[in-house]
Amino acid sequence: MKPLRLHEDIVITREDGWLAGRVGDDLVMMHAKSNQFANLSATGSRIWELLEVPRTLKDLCEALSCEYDITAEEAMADVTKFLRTAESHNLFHFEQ
Amino acid sequence: MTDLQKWTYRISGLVVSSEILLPGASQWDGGSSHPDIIVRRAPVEPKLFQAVRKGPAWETNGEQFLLNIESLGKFLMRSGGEILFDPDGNSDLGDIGLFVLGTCFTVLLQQRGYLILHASAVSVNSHAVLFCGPSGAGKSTMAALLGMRGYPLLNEDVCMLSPMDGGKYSLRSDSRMLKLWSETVAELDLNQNARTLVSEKHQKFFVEPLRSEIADKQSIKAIYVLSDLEKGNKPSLEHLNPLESAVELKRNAYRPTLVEAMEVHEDYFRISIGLLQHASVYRLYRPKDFGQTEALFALMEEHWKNLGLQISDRIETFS
Repeated sequence: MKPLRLHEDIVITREDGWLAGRVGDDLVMMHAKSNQFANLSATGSRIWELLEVPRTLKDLCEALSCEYDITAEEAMADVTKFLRTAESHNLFHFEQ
Repeated sequence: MTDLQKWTYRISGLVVSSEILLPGASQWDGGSSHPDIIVRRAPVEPKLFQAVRKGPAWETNGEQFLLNIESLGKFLMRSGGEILFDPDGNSDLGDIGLFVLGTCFTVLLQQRGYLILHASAVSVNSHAVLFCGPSGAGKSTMAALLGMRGYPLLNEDVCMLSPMDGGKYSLRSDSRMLKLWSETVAELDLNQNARTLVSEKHQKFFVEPLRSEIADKQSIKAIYVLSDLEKGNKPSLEHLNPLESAVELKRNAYRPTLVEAMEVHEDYFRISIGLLQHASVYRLYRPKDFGQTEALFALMEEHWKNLGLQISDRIETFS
């Protein structure tokens, strides 16, 4: 599998079929068909919520930098790290 | 024409009128003019009309679920309210009753949107604590031991969870009889409470619980996943995180294959998440023998105190 090439204009979309429920600060998720489970922490679950509609990476980082009062560069570093982890769980798909 | 013999039970909070004896279930003397569930003998076709999904021994058309079990019979569950059974020629009615009470009821209750865990439960100061695990994990033995300690039995082997007001989920208890291996009955000195054999195939007995409680809405405080203790170690508990908890709740569905067959994953997940709002899941490492029973009681009672459950002074000592 090719490594994911992330850039500002890449469009991120949630994969279908995930069920999600909040337990404390965590968002517990289950994919009904594949029987896969995942757990998102507070920031990860906020990213999941923001991606209720597909967004570009740039849009997503701007939204998070406003909410968490961090620079766009810091947001980009955090989101990129999160997306690379999430990729192996098939939470999102990406359109270059 | 003579009237058929009928039995009335109270199973998971529901009044059941049955034309077959359901071994181990609690009989109900509150009348059955309007039962919630009817179990009756009737011819059942081997195929369903307009089946939408099929498996090796089952098919469903949404409203109805058919099980066709070789050398046992055909079973049709309809809209969460009726079980029809059609035994094969040589099948044993005791085995049919056990199958109806286990697998058929699971289908029926899942048709009603409930979650069914493979667990036994006892009451600790009016809160339910559940012990789950696969067959042979020691659920019934744990419940029997705690019964000797003074904690009433709520559920044996099957725990049905239903929604309450306020988004919480509660346990519907029915205090059916424990099913214990003959060695366990002897070890715990429960011979006087032992009744009939569960089945001719196994040396397991139905055992009248020492104490039991029936409650429609028992709030659930803790769920313990039973795990074997390595030799030389003391009993211990491990608090599972939300992800591990959700995985264990799904894994401990009473009949996981029926969750798949009936495509009720979403119901299970939703109820599991609701349950985790007010109940925690733990892994309980416990010995299979009875050598560390006092240490096990001490561990559990300390834990229940920490959860805010006042332990009764009337508990008895195991010896």
